[in-house]
Amino acid sequence: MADQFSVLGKKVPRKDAIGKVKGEARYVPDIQLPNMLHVKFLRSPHAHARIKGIDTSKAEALPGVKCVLTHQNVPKVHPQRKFEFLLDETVHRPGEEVAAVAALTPEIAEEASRLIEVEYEILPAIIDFEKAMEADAPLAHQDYDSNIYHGTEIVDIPRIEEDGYVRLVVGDVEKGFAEADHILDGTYITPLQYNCSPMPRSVVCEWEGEKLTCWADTQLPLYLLRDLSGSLGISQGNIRIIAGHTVGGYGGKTPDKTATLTALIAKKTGRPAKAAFSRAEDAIGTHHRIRYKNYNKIGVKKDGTITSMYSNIVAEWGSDTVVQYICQGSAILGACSMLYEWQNSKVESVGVLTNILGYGPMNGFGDPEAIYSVERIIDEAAEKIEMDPMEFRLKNCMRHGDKAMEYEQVLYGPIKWGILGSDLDSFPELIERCAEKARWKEKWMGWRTPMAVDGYKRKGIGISIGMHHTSFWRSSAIVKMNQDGSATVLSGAVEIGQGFATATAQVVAEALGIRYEDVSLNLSDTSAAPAAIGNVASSGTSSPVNSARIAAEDAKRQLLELASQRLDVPVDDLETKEGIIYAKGSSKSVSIAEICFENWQITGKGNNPLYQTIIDEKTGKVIHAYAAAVTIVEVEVDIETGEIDVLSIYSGHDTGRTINPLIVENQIDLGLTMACGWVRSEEYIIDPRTGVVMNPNMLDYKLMTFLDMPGSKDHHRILVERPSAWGPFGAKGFSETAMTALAPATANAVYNATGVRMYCGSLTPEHVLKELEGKDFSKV
Amino acid sequence: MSKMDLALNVNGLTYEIRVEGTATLADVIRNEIGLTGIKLMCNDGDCGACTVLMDGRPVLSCMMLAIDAEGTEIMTIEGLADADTGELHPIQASFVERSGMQCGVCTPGMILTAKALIDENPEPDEDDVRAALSGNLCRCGNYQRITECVLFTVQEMKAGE
Amino acid sequence: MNNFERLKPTSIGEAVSLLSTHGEKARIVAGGTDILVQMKKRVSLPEYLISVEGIKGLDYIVHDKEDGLRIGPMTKITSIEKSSLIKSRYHALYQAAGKMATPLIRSRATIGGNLCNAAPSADTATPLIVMGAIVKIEGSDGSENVSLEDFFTGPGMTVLTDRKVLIDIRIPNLPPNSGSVYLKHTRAKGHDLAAVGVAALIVMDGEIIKDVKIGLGAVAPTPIRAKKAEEILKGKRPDDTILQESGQAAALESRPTDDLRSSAEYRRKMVAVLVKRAVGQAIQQV
Repeated sequence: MADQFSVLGKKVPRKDAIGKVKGEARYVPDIQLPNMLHVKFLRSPHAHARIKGIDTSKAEALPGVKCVLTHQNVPKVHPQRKFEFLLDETVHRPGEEVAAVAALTPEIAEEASRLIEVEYEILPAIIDFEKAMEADAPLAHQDYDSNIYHGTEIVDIPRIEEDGYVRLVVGDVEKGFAEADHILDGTYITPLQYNCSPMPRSVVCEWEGEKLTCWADTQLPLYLLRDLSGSLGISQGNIRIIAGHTVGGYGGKTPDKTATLTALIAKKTGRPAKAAFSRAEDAIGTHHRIRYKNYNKIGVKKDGTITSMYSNIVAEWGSDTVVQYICQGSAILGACSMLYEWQNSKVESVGVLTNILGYGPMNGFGDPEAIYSVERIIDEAAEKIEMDPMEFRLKNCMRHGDKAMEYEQVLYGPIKWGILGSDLDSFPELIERCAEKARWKEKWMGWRTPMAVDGYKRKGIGISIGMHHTSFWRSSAIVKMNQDGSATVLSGAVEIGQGFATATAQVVAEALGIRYEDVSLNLSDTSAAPAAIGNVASSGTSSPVNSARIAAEDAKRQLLELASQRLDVPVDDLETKEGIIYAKGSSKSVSIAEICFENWQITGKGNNPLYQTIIDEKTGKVIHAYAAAVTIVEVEVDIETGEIDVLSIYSGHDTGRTINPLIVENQIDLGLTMACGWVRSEEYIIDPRTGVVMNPNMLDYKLMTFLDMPGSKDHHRILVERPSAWGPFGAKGFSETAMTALAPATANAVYNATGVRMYCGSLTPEHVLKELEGKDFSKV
Repeated sequence: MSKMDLALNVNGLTYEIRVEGTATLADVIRNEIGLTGIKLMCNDGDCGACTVLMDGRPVLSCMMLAIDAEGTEIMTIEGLADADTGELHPIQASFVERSGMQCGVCTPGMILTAKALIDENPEPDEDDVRAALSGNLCRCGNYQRITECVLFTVQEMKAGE
Repeated sequence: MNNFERLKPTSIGEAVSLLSTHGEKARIVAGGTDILVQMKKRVSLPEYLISVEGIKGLDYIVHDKEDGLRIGPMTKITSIEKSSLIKSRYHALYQAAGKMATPLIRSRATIGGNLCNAAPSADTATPLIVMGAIVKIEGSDGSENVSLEDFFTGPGMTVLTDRKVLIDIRIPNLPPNSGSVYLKHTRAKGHDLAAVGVAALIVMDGEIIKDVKIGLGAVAPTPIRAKKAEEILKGKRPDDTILQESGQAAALESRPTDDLRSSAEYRRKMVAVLVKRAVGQAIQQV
């Protein structure tokens, strides 16, 4: 495994570690420029209102205030192709920006924003997403004809049908239900979740003549580049985005209007400007994981065959969507086919607009939400036929050759099924290894039999599988050789903490045959690096890292050609290791440094292949890239308080090839912890009357802490490596997959402990206790 | 707005500055002194990221008035490595070796709180470590890894005696 | 944040005199943790902040055979958490100190501050109440002793008004064969305000409950005693039924409200559960 490699698979220290432990790593809020102004926003208190009048005179008169922007003096553009304008005359959610103020200090800007007088005409608002679907519901957007999202003039989703639904069908579900011995159904709600990035969103903009530099806390510098160019009406070549200091996006640090507004302020005032959200602003002013209402219906035979699966997913979009619905594609595919090989399945899904904070991508991007409900009905089906839920999953899980598709095709078409490649055939191994490690056979004692009962404490065990795509994006990288034989990687992707820089350096070092220490990186500077989208969709490994590998191989070819001339040895007889080029079977060698010193124009370039070019040798079908996960959870439920203690976690993940075990484990822990928080304690509380977020702070939006997660001896990460056909050295992105199986495993474990199925997704003590009410525990 | 004269001892150096009475220690150290190792994850006393050591005790710098720190010795993350040699403190070294962080925002506070723990109790067990760090939140979910790093440091420091 | 003038008296007398002079324009500041929360929420602050951190002799934990335990108001919560004396003899207070907020806040927060801030959920209040704590307060007309049970007058309000200072907390020696417990219900294990806090003090006489005091926090405008729940237990032999009944009675005595942290209904249920458990655990301690 790892032994055949020099650097790959090794626990090398992270490239960003020293800066971070010494406090030298600088994030966007740490940036101070001379003469810099501070930007604060005035936000709407109303869910839906028209601005009849806005008087900024008192704000502008306050000493220290240098600029005020309102809808009256900014361009009328749609940022990120959303409904709302940059600053809109009509606001559609509480917290929407109404004005931006720039001043000498944040305190003055804040005070000035409170002096702006706004006269609102309150419009009818719709907060409840189920009511929003009714014919007589107020419109969330009055210049849109419906609360059911069906694309806009700027955004076309071809596969949305007349009634607003997107559908995906495999086989014939009714026929499948007819063949079933048992049919079960249920409605499962999955909760909202706030990204809660450790660093609230921020941006700094500075102009020099016609050139704009923007230090942005973003995962998608390429999209931000396009957005700024379009909104400001300037050439992309005149914009430099530096996203080297991005933090913990978890998918959520996508471009938003803050950068454009800050850039406008910097232009108007001729001074650099910084907008740094407070935690409260970040909680009400960015976006979040949405709530899904999933209806699932499953048909199953006594022998454990799943004959049919139907899902109806209603997604609460909020006032607007970022990434135009794409998350829905992921969820639809997840519910339709990506976990089990169903012969018959159908998913119908719709997105509903309301006047609350809008949806944005967050770790898992539709799959945790869809899988949370699918894996619960799967458990119910296993129980119906009295089959061990682990065996049931082992029997039905996806394997090589089963149909698979890229999630964007669900929305945009064409519907052309490819297959899951043999390298993606990891479910059985993961299930078996997790079950063995967890001693599942000992601990799971049958349906409706808790692991242990001790007064009001009951222990249970549950299992779930999960999956998420690892996307392919166009991505370009440069590996330039420095004169001392070290290499610098230029890539548009972003180190957000996931270990991208380290993984890239390891892959490049391995590909080139130089030491890890001799690879440096210049990341996410759009002027310096060739284009890459950034880091989203667990695509880091498959896309920018892969393109860096290709660039490294290109550089290596050039080095070998030069060395071949120097040593008078054919290129094919040359190899590199630890910075030396040596001839196989002879003592001839030359250092890479020497070659580079003599020939300093060695620059490797690499472009990522497009997914359509990755074909399975046997079948000729396109391989789609997914990563699998299996999680087993043991819980203890206090039936008097509703508290759930997660006693142990056994989580298995297929990484393809583990580039760095430390970083891989970090990513697994992220998914597990975030999923634990999602179901056990994180509650985004939105006032149902006003749409206002009631807990925009970290006291009342409760994250997991050291005391809430299992201890070392009960926290198990199981890595499986099935080298993929296309990833760099077989590695693939699996980070978001880590989030997908824990929540349903927890719910299934709670069922095992208590005998009560919970249909609400949020398992806080108060919710759990409500569900347990009326249950006679003396019998179970 | 009236400003006050303040002498702050940070990382062994005395800084003479003028600050607002209402300024927090975090803002003063970040903006007036220019040490931005203090990270403001919540700026509200709920997350622990802004932790500094005040006379060796971990305190929340965003929840203290700067003027209340006069007469104390403050250590920020920048003051932890050896000032002359640059050698990392054992806790910092273990975080580097073992990838004790991802995005890094909670890291300075986490390391300082761990240092205060080890200084007071050179042989904490896992429960002691988790309890001492329970006020430091990590959204990237590295509780397991951070615990490992701190326990590893304890072993290393013990072995090095 | 509005501007303020900071005053640093060096004696209690000076602090009291400053309070007299400035009245409601002034406020005492101890560890400062609660004050900062209010400043950041832009709750308007008094013009004068009287910092008592400079006053010597207010940070102590001493035990006397006659008087019992005395704690100075400036004693940090961490000191209380680490006191083996308090852990062994006044266990509920030790537990409360260990569960309050986070270690980072406890390193600066003071017990005097916790009591004088008078949040209904104040963790140290209910254990002190059930242990019969008496606080000494000093004003310009001299000092007086007040039972802690009578100290709180409303959410955030105490008998101190604007002119008095808390200078000492005394807990009489607890009777032999007594045990005390503090339980707190939170939404996550690390770091939270109490949704419900319960303190119980039990004195046993053989197998019989000789005396019992039950304190409830966060379920009324002030910390309160659950006297009816106590009556159910006094003089009885403890068993599951009677503990359950006592819990139910305490739940009925509580007056919780709905807020975004918890519903009143859930809080009431937790009172019943925690009282039952706290009493049970206190009995085990004996």
